[in-house]
Amino acid sequence: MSPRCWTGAWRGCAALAAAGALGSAAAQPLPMPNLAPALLGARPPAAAAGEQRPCVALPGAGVRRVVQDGVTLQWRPRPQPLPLNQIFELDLVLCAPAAVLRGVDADMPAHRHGMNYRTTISGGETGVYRVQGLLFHMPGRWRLSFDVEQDSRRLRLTDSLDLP
Amino acid sequence: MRPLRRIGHLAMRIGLACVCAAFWPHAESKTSTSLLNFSRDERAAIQRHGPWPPAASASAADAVGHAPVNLAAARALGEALFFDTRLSPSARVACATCHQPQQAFADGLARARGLAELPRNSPSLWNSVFQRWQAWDGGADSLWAQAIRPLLDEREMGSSAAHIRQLLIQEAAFACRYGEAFGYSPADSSDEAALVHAAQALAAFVATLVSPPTPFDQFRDALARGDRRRAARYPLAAQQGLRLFIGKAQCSVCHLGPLFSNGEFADTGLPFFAQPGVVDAGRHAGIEALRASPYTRLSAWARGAEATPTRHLQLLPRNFGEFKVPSLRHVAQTAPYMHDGQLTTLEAVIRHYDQINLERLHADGEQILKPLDLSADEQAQLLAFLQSLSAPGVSAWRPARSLAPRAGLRCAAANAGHR
Repeated sequence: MSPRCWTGAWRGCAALAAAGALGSAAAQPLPMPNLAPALLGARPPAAAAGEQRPCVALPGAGVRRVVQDGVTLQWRPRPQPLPLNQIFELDLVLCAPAAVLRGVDADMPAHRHGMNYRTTISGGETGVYRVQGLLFHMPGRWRLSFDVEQDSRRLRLTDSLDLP
Repeated sequence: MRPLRRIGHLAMRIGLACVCAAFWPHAESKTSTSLLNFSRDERAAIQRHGPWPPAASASAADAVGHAPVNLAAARALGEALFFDTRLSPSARVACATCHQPQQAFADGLARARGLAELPRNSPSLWNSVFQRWQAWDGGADSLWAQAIRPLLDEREMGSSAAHIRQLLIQEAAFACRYGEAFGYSPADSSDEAALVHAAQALAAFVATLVSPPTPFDQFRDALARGDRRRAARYPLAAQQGLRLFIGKAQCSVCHLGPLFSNGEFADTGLPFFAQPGVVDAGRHAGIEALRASPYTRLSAWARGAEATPTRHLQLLPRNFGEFKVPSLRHVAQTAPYMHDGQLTTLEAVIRHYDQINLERLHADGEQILKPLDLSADEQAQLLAFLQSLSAPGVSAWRPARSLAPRAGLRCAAANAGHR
Protein backbone atom coordinates (compact mmCIF):
# COMPACT_ATOMS: atom_id res chain seq x y z
CA MET A 1 0.00 0.00 0.00
CA SER A 2 1.26 3.39 -0.85
CA PRO A 3 2.26 5.31 2.27
CA ARG A 4 0.63 8.43 0.95
CA CYS A 5 -2.21 10.19 2.51
CA TRP A 6 -4.12 13.17 1.26
CA THR A 7 -4.84 16.34 3.07
CA GLY A 8 -8.49 16.15 2.04
CA ALA A 9 -8.73 12.94 3.99
CA TRP A 10 -6.10 13.65 6.53
CA ARG A 11 -7.85 11.78 9.32
CA GLY A 12 -6.88 8.74 7.36
CA CYS A 13 -3.35 10.03 7.38
CA ALA A 14 -3.43 10.22 11.15
CA ALA A 15 -4.78 6.71 11.28
CA LEU A 16 -1.97 5.54 9.06
CA ALA A 17 0.50 7.28 11.28
CA ALA A 18 -1.01 5.70 14.37
CA ALA A 19 -0.79 2.30 12.74
CA GLY A 20 2.85 2.86 11.92
CA ALA A 21 2.26 2.55 8.21
CA LEU A 22 4.03 5.77 7.45
CA GLY A 23 7.19 4.57 9.10
CA SER A 24 7.27 1.49 6.94
CA ALA A 25 7.36 3.51 3.77
CA ALA A 26 9.68 2.28 1.12
CA ALA A 27 12.73 4.45 0.87
CA GLN A 28 12.26 7.07 -1.79
CA PRO A 29 14.33 10.11 -2.54
CA LEU A 30 12.68 12.97 -0.71
CA PRO A 31 12.51 16.25 -2.57
CA MET A 32 14.31 18.60 -0.22
CA PRO A 33 15.42 21.66 -2.12
CA ASN A 34 17.72 24.16 -0.48
CA LEU A 35 15.55 27.22 -0.69
CA ALA A 36 16.55 30.78 -0.04
CA PRO A 37 15.92 32.12 3.47
CA ALA A 38 13.51 34.61 1.89
CA LEU A 39 11.10 31.74 1.44
CA LEU A 40 11.16 30.78 5.08
CA GLY A 41 7.74 30.66 6.53
CA ALA A 42 6.15 31.40 3.19
CA ARG A 43 2.73 29.97 2.80
CA PRO A 44 2.93 27.10 0.35
CA PRO A 45 0.84 27.88 -2.71
CA ALA A 46 -0.73 24.47 -2.73
CA ALA A 47 -1.78 24.78 0.89
CA ALA A 48 -4.71 27.10 0.38
CA ALA A 49 -7.81 26.24 2.34
CA GLY A 50 -9.83 23.47 0.86
CA GLU A 51 -7.16 22.55 -1.64
CA GLN A 52 -5.76 19.09 -1.62
CA ARG A 53 -2.10 18.37 -1.73
CA PRO A 54 -0.20 15.16 -1.24
CA CYS A 55 1.20 14.41 2.18
CA VAL A 56 4.40 12.50 1.77
CA ALA A 57 5.77 10.14 4.32
CA LEU A 58 9.33 10.52 5.50
CA PRO A 59 11.14 7.42 4.39
CA GLY A 60 13.72 5.45 6.31
CA ALA A 61 14.41 4.90 9.97
CA GLY A 62 14.41 7.32 12.86
CA VAL A 63 11.16 9.05 11.91
CA ARG A 64 9.13 10.42 14.82
CA ARG A 65 5.52 11.52 14.67
CA VAL A 66 3.54 14.03 16.61
CA VAL A 67 -0.25 14.01 16.35
CA GLN A 68 -1.90 16.90 18.11
CA ASP A 69 -4.94 19.14 17.58
CA GLY A 70 -5.68 17.67 14.20
CA VAL A 71 -2.18 18.08 12.85
CA THR A 72 0.22 15.28 12.08
CA LEU A 73 3.87 16.11 11.92
CA GLN A 74 6.75 13.82 11.13
CA TRP A 75 10.36 14.67 11.72
CA ARG A 76 13.68 12.99 11.36
CA PRO A 77 17.14 14.25 12.35
CA ARG A 78 20.13 14.48 10.06
CA PRO A 79 22.54 12.93 10.81
CA GLN A 80 21.14 9.93 12.62
CA PRO A 81 21.10 9.15 15.42
CA LEU A 82 20.55 12.65 16.66
CA PRO A 83 24.04 13.76 17.75
CA LEU A 84 24.94 15.35 21.08
CA ASN A 85 26.75 18.67 20.87
CA GLN A 86 26.83 18.81 17.08
CA ILE A 87 24.83 20.85 14.64
CA PHE A 88 22.03 18.85 13.06
CA GLU A 89 19.04 19.35 10.80
CA LEU A 90 15.53 18.05 10.63
CA ASP A 91 13.58 16.76 7.69
CA LEU A 92 9.99 17.54 8.54
CA VAL A 93 6.62 16.85 6.98
CA LEU A 94 3.47 18.62 8.02
CA CYS A 95 0.38 16.66 7.21
CA ALA A 96 -2.68 18.84 7.60
CA PRO A 97 -4.75 21.01 5.33
CA ALA A 98 -3.48 24.54 4.98
CA ALA A 99 -0.99 24.15 7.82
CA VAL A 100 2.26 26.10 7.70
CA LEU A 101 5.33 25.58 9.85
CA ARG A 102 6.24 28.92 11.43
CA GLY A 103 9.01 28.04 13.85
CA VAL A 104 11.04 25.28 15.48
CA ASP A 105 12.82 25.56 18.79
CA ALA A 106 13.99 23.31 21.60
CA ASP A 107 14.60 23.55 25.31
CA MET A 108 15.50 21.52 28.39
CA PRO A 109 12.59 22.09 30.79
CA ALA A 110 14.45 20.60 33.74
CA HIS A 111 17.35 22.99 33.23
CA ARG A 112 15.23 25.95 32.22
CA HIS A 113 17.30 26.78 29.19
CA GLY A 114 16.99 26.42 25.46
CA MET A 115 19.42 26.15 22.62
CA ASN A 116 22.10 28.71 21.92
CA TYR A 117 21.13 28.67 18.26
CA ARG A 118 18.14 29.87 16.27
CA THR A 119 16.73 27.61 13.61
CA THR A 120 15.87 28.49 10.04
CA ILE A 121 13.20 26.80 7.98
CA SER A 122 13.18 26.23 4.25
CA GLY A 123 10.88 24.43 1.85
CA GLY A 124 7.21 23.97 2.61
CA GLU A 125 5.72 23.93 -0.87
CA THR A 126 4.50 20.37 -0.50
CA GLY A 127 4.39 20.31 3.26
CA VAL A 128 8.00 19.15 3.29
CA TYR A 129 10.47 21.29 5.24
CA ARG A 130 14.10 21.36 6.18
CA VAL A 131 14.99 22.86 9.55
CA GLN A 132 18.60 23.90 10.07
CA GLY A 133 20.67 25.18 12.96
CA LEU A 134 19.82 22.88 15.86
CA LEU A 135 22.40 21.91 18.46
CA PHE A 136 21.72 20.10 21.74
CA HIS A 137 24.71 20.95 23.90
CA MET A 138 23.87 18.81 26.92
CA PRO A 139 22.71 15.27 27.56
CA GLY A 140 19.26 14.87 29.09
CA ARG A 141 15.65 15.51 28.11
CA TRP A 142 15.11 17.95 25.27
CA ARG A 143 11.71 19.19 24.18
CA LEU A 144 11.26 20.17 20.54
CA SER A 145 8.55 22.75 19.85
CA PHE A 146 6.95 23.13 16.43
CA ASP A 147 4.91 26.27 15.86
CA VAL A 148 2.25 25.63 13.25
CA GLU A 149 -0.29 28.01 11.80
CA GLN A 150 -3.51 26.55 10.53
CA ASP A 151 -6.59 28.49 9.55
CA SER A 152 -5.39 31.58 11.43
CA ARG A 153 -4.81 29.69 14.65
CA ARG A 154 -1.41 29.00 16.13
CA LEU A 155 -0.60 25.59 17.49
CA ARG A 156 2.46 24.43 19.33
CA LEU A 157 3.25 20.78 18.85
CA THR A 158 5.90 19.29 21.09
CA ASP A 159 7.97 16.15 21.17
CA SER A 160 10.49 15.14 23.82
CA LEU A 161 13.47 12.88 23.66
CA ASP A 162 16.31 11.83 25.93
CA LEU A 163 19.90 12.21 24.82
CA PRO A 164 22.44 10.00 26.61
CA MET B 1 42.45 -21.40 65.55
CA ARG B 2 41.57 -25.02 64.85
CA PRO B 3 41.68 -26.03 61.16
CA LEU B 4 37.98 -26.93 61.06
CA ARG B 5 36.95 -23.68 62.64
CA ARG B 6 39.25 -21.84 60.22
CA ILE B 7 37.59 -23.62 57.29
CA GLY B 8 34.23 -22.70 58.75
CA HIS B 9 35.19 -19.07 58.96
CA LEU B 10 36.55 -19.16 55.43
CA ALA B 11 33.36 -20.75 54.13
CA MET B 12 31.30 -18.14 55.92
CA ARG B 13 33.40 -15.36 54.40
CA ILE B 14 33.06 -16.82 50.91
CA GLY B 15 29.35 -17.17 51.47
CA LEU B 16 29.06 -13.56 52.55
CA ALA B 17 31.07 -12.46 49.52
CA CYS B 18 28.70 -14.39 47.26
CA VAL B 19 25.69 -12.82 48.93
CA CYS B 20 27.24 -9.37 48.48
CA ALA B 21 27.99 -10.02 44.83
CA ALA B 22 24.46 -11.30 44.26
CA PHE B 23 22.65 -8.42 45.94
CA TRP B 24 25.07 -5.59 45.28
CA PRO B 25 26.45 -6.27 41.82
CA HIS B 26 28.17 -2.89 41.71
CA ALA B 27 29.82 -3.20 45.08
CA GLU B 28 33.56 -3.07 44.73
CA SER B 29 36.06 -5.08 46.63
CA LYS B 30 39.00 -2.81 47.27
CA THR B 31 41.11 -5.64 48.57
CA SER B 32 40.79 -8.18 45.79
CA THR B 33 41.00 -5.88 42.78
CA SER B 34 41.67 -2.24 41.99
CA LEU B 35 39.06 -2.11 39.25
CA LEU B 36 35.65 -0.83 40.24
CA ASN B 37 32.68 -2.78 38.98
CA PHE B 38 31.31 -0.06 36.74
CA SER B 39 27.72 -0.52 35.67
CA ARG B 40 26.73 -0.77 32.02
CA ASP B 41 25.51 2.84 32.02
CA GLU B 42 28.72 4.01 33.65
CA ARG B 43 30.81 2.19 31.09
CA ALA B 44 28.83 3.78 28.29
CA ALA B 45 29.31 7.19 29.88
CA ILE B 46 33.05 6.58 30.22
CA GLN B 47 33.31 5.55 26.58
CA ARG B 48 31.74 8.82 25.49
CA HIS B 49 34.85 10.64 26.75
CA GLY B 50 36.93 9.12 23.97
CA PRO B 51 38.60 8.05 21.83
CA TRP B 52 41.53 10.40 22.10
CA PRO B 53 42.76 12.02 19.98
CA PRO B 54 39.55 12.30 17.97
CA ALA B 55 39.55 10.68 14.56
CA ALA B 56 41.33 12.74 11.93
CA SER B 57 39.07 15.42 10.60
CA ALA B 58 39.25 18.60 8.61
CA SER B 59 40.36 20.46 11.74
CA ALA B 60 43.70 21.63 10.37
CA ALA B 61 42.20 22.94 7.12
CA ASP B 62 39.35 24.42 9.13
CA ALA B 63 41.78 26.21 11.44
CA VAL B 64 43.20 28.17 8.54
CA GLY B 65 39.83 28.98 7.03
CA HIS B 66 40.22 26.57 4.13
CA ALA B 67 42.70 28.97 2.55
CA PRO B 68 44.56 27.54 -0.45
CA VAL B 69 47.62 26.88 1.62
CA ASN B 70 50.66 24.64 1.90
CA LEU B 71 49.95 23.54 5.47
CA ALA B 72 53.50 22.44 6.26
CA ALA B 73 54.94 25.80 5.23
CA ALA B 74 52.14 27.63 7.03
CA ARG B 75 52.88 25.68 10.22
CA ALA B 76 56.57 26.50 9.98
CA LEU B 77 55.84 30.17 9.49
CA GLY B 78 53.23 30.12 12.25
CA GLU B 79 55.57 28.51 14.75
CA ALA B 80 58.28 31.06 14.01
CA LEU B 81 55.82 33.95 14.32
CA PHE B 82 54.37 32.55 17.54
CA PHE B 83 57.62 33.08 19.41
CA ASP B 84 58.65 36.34 17.76
CA THR B 85 58.14 39.54 19.75
CA ARG B 86 58.54 41.62 16.61
CA LEU B 87 54.91 40.92 15.75
CA SER B 88 54.22 43.62 18.32
CA PRO B 89 55.58 47.08 17.41
CA SER B 90 56.79 47.25 21.01
CA ALA B 91 58.98 44.16 20.37
CA ARG B 92 58.14 43.19 23.96
CA VAL B 93 55.25 40.77 23.53
CA ALA B 94 54.86 37.59 21.51
CA CYS B 95 52.01 35.09 21.40
CA ALA B 96 54.25 32.95 23.59
CA THR B 97 54.27 35.62 26.29
CA CYS B 98 50.81 34.50 27.38
CA HIS B 99 50.95 31.01 25.89
CA GLN B 100 54.18 29.50 27.17
CA PRO B 101 54.96 25.91 26.19
CA GLN B 102 56.23 25.01 29.67
CA GLN B 103 52.97 26.34 31.15
CA ALA B 104 50.79 24.16 28.92
CA PHE B 105 50.57 27.10 26.51
CA ALA B 106 48.99 29.26 29.20
CA ASP B 107 51.01 31.58 31.49
CA GLY B 108 50.36 30.57 35.08
CA LEU B 109 49.01 34.03 35.90
CA ALA B 110 45.54 34.80 37.16
CA ARG B 111 45.05 37.44 34.48
CA ALA B 112 46.93 37.67 31.22
CA ARG B 113 49.57 40.35 30.89
CA GLY B 114 50.39 41.64 27.42
CA LEU B 115 51.19 45.31 26.96
CA ALA B 116 48.69 45.81 29.78
CA GLU B 117 46.86 43.56 32.21
CA LEU B 118 43.76 41.94 30.77
CA PRO B 119 40.60 41.01 32.63
CA ARG B 120 40.81 37.32 31.79
CA ASN B 121 43.00 34.29 32.35
CA SER B 122 45.12 33.06 29.42
CA PRO B 123 43.53 29.83 28.21
CA SER B 124 45.73 26.90 27.29
CA LEU B 125 46.06 26.43 23.55
CA TRP B 126 46.29 22.66 23.71
CA ASN B 127 43.46 21.08 21.70
CA SER B 128 41.94 24.45 20.88
CA VAL B 129 41.64 23.27 17.28
CA PHE B 130 38.69 21.16 18.42
CA GLN B 131 36.78 24.08 19.93
CA ARG B 132 33.71 25.47 18.18
CA TRP B 133 34.28 28.91 19.70
CA GLN B 134 37.61 30.38 20.73
CA ALA B 135 38.50 32.27 23.92
CA TRP B 136 36.50 32.67 27.12
CA ASP B 137 33.84 34.73 25.37
CA GLY B 138 33.76 32.76 22.13
CA GLY B 139 34.36 35.97 20.24
CA ALA B 140 36.00 34.10 17.35
CA ASP B 141 34.61 31.15 15.43
CA SER B 142 37.93 29.71 14.22
CA LEU B 143 41.56 29.57 15.22
CA TRP B 144 42.69 31.93 12.47
CA ALA B 145 40.06 34.51 13.39
CA GLN B 146 41.04 34.23 17.05
CA ALA B 147 44.72 34.81 16.22
CA ILE B 148 43.85 38.23 14.83
CA ARG B 149 42.29 39.45 18.08
CA PRO B 150 45.42 39.60 20.30
CA LEU B 151 47.51 40.87 17.39
CA LEU B 152 45.36 43.98 17.06
CA ASP B 153 44.25 44.46 20.67
CA GLU B 154 46.08 47.44 22.17
CA ARG B 155 46.22 45.74 25.56
CA GLU B 156 47.80 42.59 24.14
CA MET B 157 50.21 43.04 21.21
CA GLY B 158 49.06 46.39 19.85
CA SER B 159 50.00 45.53 16.31
CA SER B 160 48.52 46.48 12.95
CA ALA B 161 48.09 44.88 9.55
CA ALA B 162 50.67 47.27 8.05
CA HIS B 163 53.24 46.47 10.74
CA ILE B 164 52.80 42.72 10.28
CA ARG B 165 53.13 42.97 6.50
CA GLN B 166 56.35 44.96 6.84
CA LEU B 167 57.80 42.37 9.21
CA LEU B 168 56.88 39.58 6.79
CA ILE B 169 58.58 41.43 3.95
CA GLN B 170 61.73 42.42 5.86
CA GLU B 171 62.49 39.07 7.49
CA ALA B 172 63.71 36.84 4.64
CA ALA B 173 62.84 33.59 6.37
CA PHE B 174 59.28 34.79 6.98
CA ALA B 175 58.88 36.03 3.42
CA CYS B 176 60.12 32.72 2.09
CA ARG B 177 57.77 30.63 4.22
CA TYR B 178 54.92 32.96 3.43
CA GLY B 179 55.49 32.49 -0.29
CA GLU B 180 55.64 28.72 0.12
CA ALA B 181 52.50 28.70 2.19
CA PHE B 182 50.25 31.08 0.27
CA GLY B 183 51.70 31.11 -3.23
CA TYR B 184 52.67 34.76 -3.39
CA SER B 185 54.95 37.06 -1.47
CA PRO B 186 53.98 39.40 1.37
CA ALA B 187 55.14 42.25 -0.85
CA ASP B 188 52.37 41.27 -3.26
CA SER B 189 49.81 41.10 -0.45
CA SER B 190 47.62 43.86 0.85
CA ASP B 191 48.06 44.77 4.49
CA GLU B 192 44.85 42.96 5.33
CA ALA B 193 45.82 39.83 3.38
CA ALA B 194 49.17 39.77 5.18
CA LEU B 195 47.39 40.06 8.53
CA VAL B 196 44.95 37.27 7.70
CA HIS B 197 47.67 34.99 6.32
CA ALA B 198 49.86 35.59 9.37
CA ALA B 199 46.86 34.62 11.51
CA GLN B 200 46.23 31.56 9.35
CA ALA B 201 49.87 30.54 9.75
CA LEU B 202 49.60 30.96 13.52
CA ALA B 203 46.41 28.88 13.44
CA ALA B 204 48.10 26.18 11.39
CA PHE B 205 50.75 25.92 14.11
CA VAL B 206 48.31 26.01 17.02
CA ALA B 207 46.26 23.30 15.30
CA THR B 208 49.23 20.95 15.80
CA LEU B 209 48.89 21.23 19.59
CA VAL B 210 46.92 18.06 20.16
CA SER B 211 47.81 16.60 23.52
CA PRO B 212 48.90 12.97 23.87
CA PRO B 213 46.72 10.30 25.51
CA THR B 214 46.40 10.48 29.28
CA PRO B 215 46.14 7.82 32.00
CA PHE B 216 42.37 8.25 31.72
CA ASP B 217 42.48 7.52 27.98
CA GLN B 218 44.52 4.39 28.61
CA PHE B 219 41.95 3.28 31.20
CA ARG B 220 39.04 4.04 28.90
CA ASP B 221 40.58 2.17 25.99
CA ALA B 222 41.41 -0.81 28.22
CA LEU B 223 37.79 -0.94 29.37
CA ALA B 224 36.62 -0.77 25.76
CA ARG B 225 38.65 -3.82 24.76
CA GLY B 226 37.83 -5.71 27.95
CA ASP B 227 41.38 -5.61 29.26
CA ARG B 228 40.60 -5.62 32.98
CA ARG B 229 44.21 -6.12 33.95
CA ARG B 230 45.34 -3.01 32.11
CA ALA B 231 42.32 -1.05 33.31
CA ALA B 232 43.12 -1.98 36.92
CA ARG B 233 46.37 -0.03 36.69
CA TYR B 234 44.34 3.18 36.73
CA PRO B 235 44.47 4.43 40.33
CA LEU B 236 41.48 3.45 42.40
CA ALA B 237 40.98 7.00 43.64
CA ALA B 238 40.80 8.22 40.03
CA GLN B 239 38.21 5.54 39.24
CA GLN B 240 36.14 6.64 42.22
CA GLY B 241 36.52 10.24 41.11
CA LEU B 242 35.46 9.29 37.59
CA ARG B 243 32.35 7.65 39.01
CA LEU B 244 31.54 10.91 40.79
CA PHE B 245 32.32 12.94 37.66
CA ILE B 246 29.82 11.05 35.50
CA GLY B 247 27.38 10.42 38.33
CA LYS B 248 26.67 12.20 41.58
CA ALA B 249 28.60 15.38 40.75
CA GLN B 250 27.18 15.56 37.18
CA CYS B 251 30.30 17.30 35.90
CA SER B 252 29.93 15.52 32.55
CA VAL B 253 26.68 17.35 31.79
CA CYS B 254 28.84 20.27 30.62
CA HIS B 255 32.31 18.73 30.56
CA LEU B 256 31.33 16.11 28.03
CA GLY B 257 32.90 14.19 25.18
CA PRO B 258 36.55 13.53 24.42
CA LEU B 259 37.43 17.17 25.04
CA PHE B 260 35.66 17.22 28.43
CA SER B 261 33.80 20.32 27.28
CA ASN B 262 30.66 20.98 25.29
CA GLY B 263 32.34 24.10 23.96
CA GLU B 264 29.40 26.25 25.01
CA PHE B 265 29.01 28.82 27.78
CA ALA B 266 27.73 28.90 31.33
CA ASP B 267 27.24 31.07 34.36
CA THR B 268 28.94 29.18 37.18
CA GLY B 269 28.04 31.53 39.99
CA LEU B 270 31.35 33.35 40.14
CA PRO B 271 31.69 37.11 40.37
CA PHE B 272 32.49 38.54 36.94
CA PHE B 273 33.87 41.95 37.66
CA ALA B 274 36.70 42.89 35.32
CA GLN B 275 37.65 45.55 37.88
CA PRO B 276 35.74 47.18 40.72
CA GLY B 277 32.49 48.49 39.29
CA VAL B 278 33.14 47.14 35.77
CA VAL B 279 31.40 43.96 34.73
CA ASP B 280 32.85 41.51 32.21
CA ALA B 281 29.88 40.71 29.97
CA GLY B 282 31.48 37.43 28.86
CA ARG B 283 29.61 35.55 26.15
CA HIS B 284 27.25 38.45 25.52
CA ALA B 285 30.17 40.67 24.51
CA GLY B 286 31.75 37.77 22.64
CA ILE B 287 28.73 37.33 20.38
CA GLU B 288 28.59 41.07 19.75
CA ALA B 289 32.30 41.08 18.88
CA LEU B 290 31.83 38.12 16.58
CA ARG B 291 28.97 39.78 14.75
CA ALA B 292 30.97 42.97 14.31
CA SER B 293 34.10 41.20 13.11
CA PRO B 294 35.05 41.08 9.42
CA TYR B 295 36.98 37.90 10.21
CA THR B 296 34.53 35.05 10.69
CA ARG B 297 33.51 31.88 8.92
CA LEU B 298 30.91 33.96 7.10
CA SER B 299 33.54 36.25 5.60
CA ALA B 300 35.22 35.99 2.22
CA TRP B 301 38.40 34.89 4.04
CA ALA B 302 36.81 31.58 4.92
CA ARG B 303 35.31 30.30 1.73
CA GLY B 304 34.12 26.74 2.06
CA ALA B 305 34.33 26.70 5.85
CA GLU B 306 31.48 25.15 7.79
CA ALA B 307 29.61 28.18 9.11
CA THR B 308 26.32 26.76 10.34
CA PRO B 309 26.90 27.52 14.05
CA THR B 310 27.97 31.08 13.25
CA ARG B 311 24.97 31.62 11.00
CA HIS B 312 22.50 30.34 13.57
CA LEU B 313 24.01 31.78 16.72
CA GLN B 314 21.59 33.83 18.80
CA LEU B 315 22.27 36.53 21.36
CA LEU B 316 20.36 35.93 24.59
CA PRO B 317 20.05 37.96 27.80
CA ARG B 318 21.37 35.00 29.75
CA ASN B 319 24.66 35.19 27.82
CA PHE B 320 25.59 38.08 30.07
CA GLY B 321 28.25 36.82 32.48
CA GLU B 322 28.56 33.44 30.81
CA PHE B 323 32.01 32.09 30.00
CA LYS B 324 33.16 29.10 28.04
CA VAL B 325 33.09 25.66 29.58
CA PRO B 326 36.81 24.90 29.41
CA SER B 327 38.29 21.60 28.36
CA LEU B 328 39.55 19.60 31.33
CA ARG B 329 42.37 17.90 29.46
CA HIS B 330 45.64 18.64 31.27
CA VAL B 331 43.64 20.81 33.69
CA ALA B 332 46.11 20.09 36.50
CA GLN B 333 48.75 22.00 34.54
CA THR B 334 46.76 25.18 33.88
CA ALA B 335 46.28 26.82 37.29
CA PRO B 336 44.91 29.30 38.21
CA TYR B 337 41.35 28.62 37.16
CA MET B 338 38.11 30.09 35.85
CA HIS B 339 37.77 32.96 33.37
CA ASP B 340 39.77 35.41 35.46
CA GLY B 341 41.96 33.05 37.45
CA GLN B 342 40.16 33.82 40.69
CA LEU B 343 40.50 30.23 41.96
CA THR B 344 44.11 29.30 42.49
CA THR B 345 43.94 25.52 42.79
CA LEU B 346 41.88 22.59 41.55
CA GLU B 347 40.90 21.94 45.15
CA ALA B 348 39.41 25.42 45.26
CA VAL B 349 37.48 24.74 42.05
CA ILE B 350 36.04 21.56 43.54
CA ARG B 351 35.10 23.43 46.72
CA HIS B 352 33.42 26.12 44.61
CA TYR B 353 31.11 23.59 42.97
CA ASP B 354 30.72 21.68 46.21
CA GLN B 355 29.30 24.70 48.04
CA ILE B 356 28.12 26.79 45.12
CA ASN B 357 26.38 30.01 45.99
CA LEU B 358 23.04 29.73 44.23
CA GLU B 359 22.23 33.37 44.91
CA ARG B 360 25.02 34.38 42.56
CA LEU B 361 23.46 32.47 39.66
CA HIS B 362 21.05 34.27 37.35
CA ALA B 363 17.55 34.16 38.80
CA ASP B 364 16.30 32.72 35.52
CA GLY B 365 19.47 30.78 34.95
CA GLU B 366 20.15 27.13 34.51
CA GLN B 367 18.97 24.75 37.16
CA ILE B 368 21.93 22.46 36.80
CA LEU B 369 24.31 23.69 39.43
CA LYS B 370 23.50 22.73 42.98
CA PRO B 371 25.76 22.29 46.00
CA LEU B 372 27.33 18.84 45.72
CA ASP B 373 28.00 18.31 49.42
CA LEU B 374 30.87 15.94 48.75
CA SER B 375 32.78 14.39 51.61
CA ALA B 376 36.47 15.14 52.00
CA ASP B 377 37.23 11.69 50.56
CA GLU B 378 35.01 12.32 47.57
CA GLN B 379 36.65 15.67 46.90
CA ALA B 380 40.04 13.94 46.98
CA GLN B 381 38.77 11.30 44.56
CA LEU B 382 37.46 13.91 42.15
CA LEU B 383 40.82 15.63 42.32
CA ALA B 384 42.61 12.35 41.58
CA PHE B 385 40.43 11.88 38.52
CA LEU B 386 41.06 15.41 37.24
CA GLN B 387 44.79 14.90 37.69
CA SER B 388 44.57 11.79 35.54
CA LEU B 389 43.48 13.94 32.59
CA SER B 390 47.01 15.20 32.09
CA ALA B 391 49.68 13.69 29.89
CA PRO B 392 53.37 14.18 30.71
CA GLY B 393 54.11 15.20 27.12
CA VAL B 394 52.12 18.39 27.49
CA SER B 395 54.80 20.13 29.53
CA ALA B 396 57.63 18.58 27.52
CA TRP B 397 56.74 20.28 24.25
CA ARG B 398 59.72 21.37 22.17
CA PRO B 399 59.89 23.22 18.85
CA ALA B 400 60.25 21.00 15.81
CA ARG B 401 63.87 20.71 14.69
CA SER B 402 63.06 21.53 11.08
CA LEU B 403 61.74 24.90 12.16
CA ALA B 404 65.04 26.25 13.45
CA PRO B 405 66.16 29.56 11.89
CA ARG B 406 68.64 27.79 9.60
CA ALA B 407 65.79 25.96 7.93
CA GLY B 408 64.25 29.32 7.14
CA LEU B 409 67.49 30.48 5.59
CA ARG B 410 67.66 27.35 3.47
CA CYS B 411 64.14 28.11 2.32
CA ALA B 412 65.21 31.61 1.27
CA ALA B 413 68.29 30.27 -0.52
CA ALA B 414 66.29 27.65 -2.38
CA ASN B 415 63.75 30.19 -3.52
CA ALA B 416 66.51 32.52 -4.71
CA GLY B 417 67.89 29.67 -6.78
CA HIS B 418 64.57 29.22 -8.56
CA ARG B 419 64.32 32.81 -9.68
